[in-house]
Amino acid sequence: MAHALIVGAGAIGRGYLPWELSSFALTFLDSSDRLVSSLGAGGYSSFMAKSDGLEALVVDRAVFTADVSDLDLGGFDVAFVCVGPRNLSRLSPALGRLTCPVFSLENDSATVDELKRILGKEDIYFGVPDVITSSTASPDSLIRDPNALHTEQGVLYLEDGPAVSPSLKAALPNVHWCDKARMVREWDAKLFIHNTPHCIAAFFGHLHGCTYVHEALAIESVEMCLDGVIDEVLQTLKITTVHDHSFLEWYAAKELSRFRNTLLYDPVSRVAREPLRKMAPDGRLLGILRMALGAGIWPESLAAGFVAGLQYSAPHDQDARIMSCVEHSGVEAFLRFVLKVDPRSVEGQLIARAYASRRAPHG
Amino acid sequence: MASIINQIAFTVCRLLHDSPPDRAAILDIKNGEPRDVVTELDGSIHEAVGSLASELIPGAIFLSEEQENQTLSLLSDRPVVVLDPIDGSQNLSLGLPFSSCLIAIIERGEVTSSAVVSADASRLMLYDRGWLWSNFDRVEVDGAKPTYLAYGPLSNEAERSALRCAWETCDSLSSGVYRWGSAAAGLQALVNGQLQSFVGIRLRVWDFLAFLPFLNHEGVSVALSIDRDRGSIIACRDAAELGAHLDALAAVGERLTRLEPGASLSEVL
Repeated sequence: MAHALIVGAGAIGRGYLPWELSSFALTFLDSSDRLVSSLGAGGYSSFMAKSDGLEALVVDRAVFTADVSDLDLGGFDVAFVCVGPRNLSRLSPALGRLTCPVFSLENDSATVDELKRILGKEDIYFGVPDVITSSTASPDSLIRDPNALHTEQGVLYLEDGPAVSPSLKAALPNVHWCDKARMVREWDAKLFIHNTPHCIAAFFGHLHGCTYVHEALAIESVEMCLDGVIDEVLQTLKITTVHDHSFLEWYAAKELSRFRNTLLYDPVSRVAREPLRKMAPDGRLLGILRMALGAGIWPESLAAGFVAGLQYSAPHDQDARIMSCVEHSGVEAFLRFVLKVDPRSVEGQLIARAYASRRAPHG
Repeated sequence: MASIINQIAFTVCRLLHDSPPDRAAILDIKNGEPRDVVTELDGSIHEAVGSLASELIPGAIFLSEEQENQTLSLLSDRPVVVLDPIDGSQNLSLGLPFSSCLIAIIERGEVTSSAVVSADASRLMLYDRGWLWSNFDRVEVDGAKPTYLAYGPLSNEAERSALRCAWETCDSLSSGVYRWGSAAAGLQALVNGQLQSFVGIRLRVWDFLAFLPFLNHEGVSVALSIDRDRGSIIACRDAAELGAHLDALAAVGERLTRLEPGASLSEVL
């Protein structure tokens, strides 16, 4: 039986990957002693939302550890890293002794080079789990299993590289193996067509007091804005990239229905988390907004979504200390000092005007 | 709810951003000393931070460069808010880069929170009881780098001798001596990895106190001497360089005390 190491037992790591790795013996490495102890006590369940309801996968034979020295680093056939981009620097360099290929599933292709530097290892590749996986589960599922997670049925795209053996591919029959060019296409699509409206949905959800993303989609004004966001992103990518238009349109068409899935129980707090990271210059918010302006698209809905993000300061979020300061500095100074956006630039003025005209949500 | 230091720092961000150019004009030259200029912006920041400090930290002592007749009490049982509204006011008045607002909150001899807000570079550094945030990435450069040398008004031959000694030592141990008209700019560049060390002779304490937590976080070795509102500071990435500076200055009668991480300012006062 093949062995897989999953670094990070969060949403993607324990909620989604076991479905793709059903023929593998699994080992999870996570920094949380509390979580590892809880999972090790009896495993957990992942629930996949299908058209006719939830299907359960019980993961009760995996190994869970918080200590990299417990691992036989030469004994894995594949490893996946899904700890969150900000947590990469805390990975143990000892993982560099893994003899198998490693896939970064961190939503940012730059993490591949970062992992190569941290681990001193070259056979590290990019992967895109095109899936929405919650960090929690329905109240009913949680009563039965406090470590349960819900996920949709996704698609895993992995970069094909020299270290990827035919036997590994055979052990992962549902994975879409792609060359680098196609990976970039899939990632562009995912980042901007999926992640951009997804986080904006969560920001609006927060403003409207929603717990789950699907609740935000039930609000007409939010749905209208998201339609606008997806349209602006789609038009921008059609103009600024050479990606196949029918592929882009196919991808865009299914987004809102994914967000509306009432079986996912995907928390607003997970999807909206770390807004400063999401507002990085080339990221899912500023990046596409600037691309839109460059393409001659007036990104009104994207700007409204960005402003919703500026108002996200959930108390337990890692970025709350900074996000709670927008009112103290004013939006222009915040753009300048925190987001490094020149308030005099076109995008700066667009955001500042959208912020000035924002209205408090009604109910 | 934003923390106290964040509320103060972001209010300063707003003031710096909203300030029209004429607020950089010189209003006063203190004590006839040409380097000690005061701009309208200095006054505005002084008023705003003083007002916020009294509102957010009732009973705190407010120690600002722009305050007359103040009594220094860094070791008070009451919180002390130390402010340099603009370090580098002369640069600001001349339209040159390198000017920053520096805020430090001291409780029982420890800098528990601080902020550095750089007007020209739009840099922001925040520290609050172990939490640290900045909006710029550290520069990774190998090899010898320059040293920033700063000094305040020198009033006697002993101080001038210390400066001459410091200059020669800096020159011999680094790739060059840099001066930009702002101690804060030099300390930012040290924290940022662009300089290897900072030597400050007879500065005002508000020029450097805000940087202590950031220097500690970067593993920079620090030595201080503080006498009322003035102090000398040497901060080096290489502890051996710090030792060389301390030995050289001790030979001319200038003694500084190494500040261990987490140590109280009472050890150097």
